[in-house]
Amino acid sequence: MTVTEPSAFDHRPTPTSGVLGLAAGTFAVGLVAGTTVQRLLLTVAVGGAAAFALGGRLWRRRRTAGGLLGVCGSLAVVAAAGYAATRPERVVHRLELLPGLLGLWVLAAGLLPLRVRRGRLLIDIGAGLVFITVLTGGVVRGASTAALVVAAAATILAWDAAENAVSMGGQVGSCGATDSRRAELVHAGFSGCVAVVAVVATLGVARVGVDGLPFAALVVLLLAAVVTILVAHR
Amino acid sequence: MTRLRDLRHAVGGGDPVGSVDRADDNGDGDSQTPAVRPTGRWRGVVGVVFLAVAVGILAKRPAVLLMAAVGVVFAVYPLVTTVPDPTLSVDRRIDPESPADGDAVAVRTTIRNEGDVPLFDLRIVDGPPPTLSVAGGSPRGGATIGPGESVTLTYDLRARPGRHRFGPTTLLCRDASGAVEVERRIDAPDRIDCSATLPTVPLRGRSGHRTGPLVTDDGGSGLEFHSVTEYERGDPANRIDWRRFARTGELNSVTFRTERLADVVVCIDARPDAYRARSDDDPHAVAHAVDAAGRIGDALLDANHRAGLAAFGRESFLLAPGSGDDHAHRFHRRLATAPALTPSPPESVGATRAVADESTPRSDPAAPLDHQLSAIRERLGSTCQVVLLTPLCDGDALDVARRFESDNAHVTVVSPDVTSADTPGGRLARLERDSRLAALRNANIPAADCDPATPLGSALEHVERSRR
Repeated sequence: MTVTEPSAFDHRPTPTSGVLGLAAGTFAVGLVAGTTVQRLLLTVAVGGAAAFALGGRLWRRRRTAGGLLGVCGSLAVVAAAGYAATRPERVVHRLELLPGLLGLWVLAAGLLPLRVRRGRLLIDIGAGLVFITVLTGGVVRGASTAALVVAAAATILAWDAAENAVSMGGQVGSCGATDSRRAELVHAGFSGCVAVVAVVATLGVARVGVDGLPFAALVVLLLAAVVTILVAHR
Repeated sequence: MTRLRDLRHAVGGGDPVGSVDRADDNGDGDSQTPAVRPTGRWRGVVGVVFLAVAVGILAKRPAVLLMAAVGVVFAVYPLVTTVPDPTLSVDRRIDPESPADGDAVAVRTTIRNEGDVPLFDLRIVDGPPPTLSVAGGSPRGGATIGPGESVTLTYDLRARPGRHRFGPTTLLCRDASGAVEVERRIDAPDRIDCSATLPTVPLRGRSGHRTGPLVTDDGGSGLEFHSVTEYERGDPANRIDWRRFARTGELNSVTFRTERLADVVVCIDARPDAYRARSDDDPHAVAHAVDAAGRIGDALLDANHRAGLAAFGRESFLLAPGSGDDHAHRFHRRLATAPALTPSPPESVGATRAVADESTPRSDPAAPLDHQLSAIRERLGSTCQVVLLTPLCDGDALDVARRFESDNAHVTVVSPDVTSADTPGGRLARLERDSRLAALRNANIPAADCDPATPLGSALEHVERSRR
């Protein structure tokens, strides 16, 4: 009885949502990375993370090729992170990009997955690191308000798609007889619509003149909204 | 052949009580799980909002607060989606339904959305028989299906001898945001019958007094030569060896091996430790044992022996030996429905021996085994013999066999091999199992080593031959 049949059920995350998640994460970091050096480093790191993910996928069938690709990808990410930590002249630019690059790498590792049971944790950490980049961008005024809002929405989309990849893969496997691609795309589509609504609503409110509003009022309004949601969750 | 079963449930208000369990690794049948459960996947967004608000306040950046506002919208998202109320039907086509040993059986399971609303995220886990391995395709799938649409899972099973029942089809339906998961189980009790009768069951020379097909070591009337003894007054004249009389002048009678009826109890080791499998995709040892028990029982009953059934593990039972069609029916029903032989492994497998709270609470798992065994042994008749089905995964199985043997119930061990040579641990387990088999044989207990990949019949024949 062969155990390693190609069709054997595995719990690996599904590729469709995984690719969507990585793309959304890259988009989020790209919006914050303003300078040419940052863009270049991001491109290298994304290429590395993609190669890492691809190598992990190949690992089961072709050990050598998969392993080589994974190691090369990791080296590219590490090199890009090293440059990001040292190269840009301004310290804020260094702080800004570093967590995002590492976050994309961790996100890719969660989608491999390195360890099936830890996939969700890796995705949470990866998306969290990307969000830290976006937050830092907001604090150091690294990007326009619109870009920051879109980047925040893209980070949440990245996490949503990646988590869906893990959950779908865990329940029906990454190579089911029926393609789960349509369900995944529908899910991502709905989340995308919500993101669009969120961005439009937020920017619309901002355009009306939130900047003129007392800062404390804005904070209190937001906290009130959060408390309302928490109460509704009960 | 087409069978259609419908299931129309009302979702009970969508009240998500109970612990938030991320519902992966499904397929282990636990009917107590709530039908509607929150996945809790959007909870983290609230934390993200708080983080952004805090950073925004500390750095006095309105842009960061606006990012928090985006998070608020996503936190509201799962509240506005409706809880799906799926109305689904399952239709399974099996081709062929009665395959030969080793044939590929094509299964097509079609799930149709009978409701009026589209189901955006439907995850299907079909329940192929635990004793058969999937040879191609996958019994799992994810789909989006609109009203009236259907989705079909296609997969192949490798047929093995025996009667194999399909389990329920599990359908997990999430709302668009994935915040709520509704679980449905639809029972479609289809069956695959793959008949391949066992040529022989090795029995030991222990029997009652009724005439039957078991050739014993006692001299008497029968077919097979046993011995030549001195003539005693009263021996039948047709058994006198007249040639010898002509040659030597002494009267001798020939005796033959008596043929008797055997009382056999097929006993299954279903302890939590016996729920071992080569890999996650392969059937576990208890499934193999149940399958083998059915076929051994059939073979015994066909040969006019009296067959009984017993099991120990989570609980024990004994179906006393009997014969006839009614008894055969009882035998198979017990095999299919006995709680001790549930195909889903207990929670405690692999972990510590903590027994799940759903069954009777037990403080020490070793004590009940003693009770169970003595309950079975008490009710075994004095002439009964036991065919013990155990994977021999631990030393306890060896003790069980020895204990039966020491009670004068002759034991034959049939052991499905679920060890694997893929990992060092697996190789060690295989070595240990081999030494247990050797220990059994040294104690004069015949033991059949059954590789699931080879037919059961040949392993049993091997024991039968080596005994002679």
